[in-house]
Amino acid sequence: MKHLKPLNSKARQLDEAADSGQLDEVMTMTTVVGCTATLDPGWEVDAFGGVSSLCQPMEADLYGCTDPCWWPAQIADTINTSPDWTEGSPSAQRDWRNLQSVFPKR
Amino acid sequence: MRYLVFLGVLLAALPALARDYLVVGSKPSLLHVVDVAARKVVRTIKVPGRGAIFTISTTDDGKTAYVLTDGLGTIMGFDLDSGKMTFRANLSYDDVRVKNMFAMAATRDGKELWSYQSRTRLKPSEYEVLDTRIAVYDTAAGKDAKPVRSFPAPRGLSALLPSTDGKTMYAIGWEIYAFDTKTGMIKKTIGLRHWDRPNFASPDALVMWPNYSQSNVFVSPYFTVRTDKKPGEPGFAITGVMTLDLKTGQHRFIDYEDTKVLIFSMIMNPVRRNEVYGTYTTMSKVDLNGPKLVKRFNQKHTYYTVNVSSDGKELYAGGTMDDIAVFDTRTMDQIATIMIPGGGDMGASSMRMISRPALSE
Repeated sequence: MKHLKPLNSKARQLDEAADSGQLDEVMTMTTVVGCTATLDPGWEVDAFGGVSSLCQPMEADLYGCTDPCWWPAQIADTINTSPDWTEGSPSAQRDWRNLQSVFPKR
Repeated sequence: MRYLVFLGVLLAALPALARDYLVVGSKPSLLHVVDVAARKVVRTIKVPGRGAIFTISTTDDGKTAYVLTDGLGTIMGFDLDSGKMTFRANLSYDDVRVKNMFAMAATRDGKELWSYQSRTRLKPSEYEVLDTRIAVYDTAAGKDAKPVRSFPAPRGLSALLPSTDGKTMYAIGWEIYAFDTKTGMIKKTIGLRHWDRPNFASPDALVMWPNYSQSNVFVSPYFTVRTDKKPGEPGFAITGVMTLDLKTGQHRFIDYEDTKVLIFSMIMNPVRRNEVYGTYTTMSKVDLNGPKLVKRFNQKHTYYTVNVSSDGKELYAGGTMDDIAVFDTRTMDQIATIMIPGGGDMGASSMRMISRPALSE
């Protein structure tokens, strides 16, 4: 952790937990409000720093990940807030052009 | 008389003539039954509700499939012969929103359905995160089923696996937990995140596919690193196979190669039990006796999940897109492709194998 500096109280708690050997108590909760199955950041690079171990083609992974709410930051939350995001577009490879940006409802 | 005896023996052997079927979901809310020998889908059931099919649990008699759908919020049971819905449980209640986070399974006798539930109370200006639990439903409760009992369960569970004797429900999460099916108490915990392996970091695993049918041995890949080696050094990053025998309860962690590719899920050959197959963008054949990687090749596209025929001769790669690839398990040559009607993505759907008398078309 020597290259990371905590900026808020939650990060400081995490830092302190690491220093005192209590990391086991800091775990993701599977879900907070129904979405966010993981803290996976999504499409960037694979575990080896490349892209060859990402899904092939990239579209193959879209619904397999968005439907279980794997990447809630990058794509719509189809579990709760945008349940109809893929309506009428059952094939990601064929229908991805139909998928639109979503915005919070006021 | 001799012929009568022969006829009797023949009739008694009829269950052995059972056919293999894959049961898999696709968007939009479709449940398919695939006759793998005929290389075609013989039943497609429109599942009410929206979106994707997630976990599918089939009963041992192959007559019923339970489906988690509707944004992880509803479980429905379907009679595979008639296609009719026999069971439905809407998981949310009152002001509590309930999501079944993947782990869902019918018991071996088909009488109960176990559902792992993450619950959030939706208050006017606040979300209250409630404790996770396992809720148990009576499968005979019809289309407005409510839990008949529930008990606390650790966070992070992603698969439920019933033991063959019906006494234990294994849950995979941070660790492997053995629940007593009568009391709901955890009677044993097998370390996964806290495994007892000196010089090994905690493993990383993605256990979303309950792949144990045919062999009754659950297998899943894991990835770990050696803490006594330097990054880049041979033997630093390791891929292995986790096995959990649902008959004996025995588990094994078998390291078999330096990590070179990602693997999402695996299945064990029910006849040559030393053979395990793992899928993602590549297909891998692993010999647990080596242990060693026997063969690996790029697939036409990513397939999340695999299953295998009862005789161990054929391997099926599915999930993700709209086709199931069929391979010969000895040569690993692709010998057929089965298309899913409608062309919708299977996504993260389970792909379960059932062996049962022929389904009428």
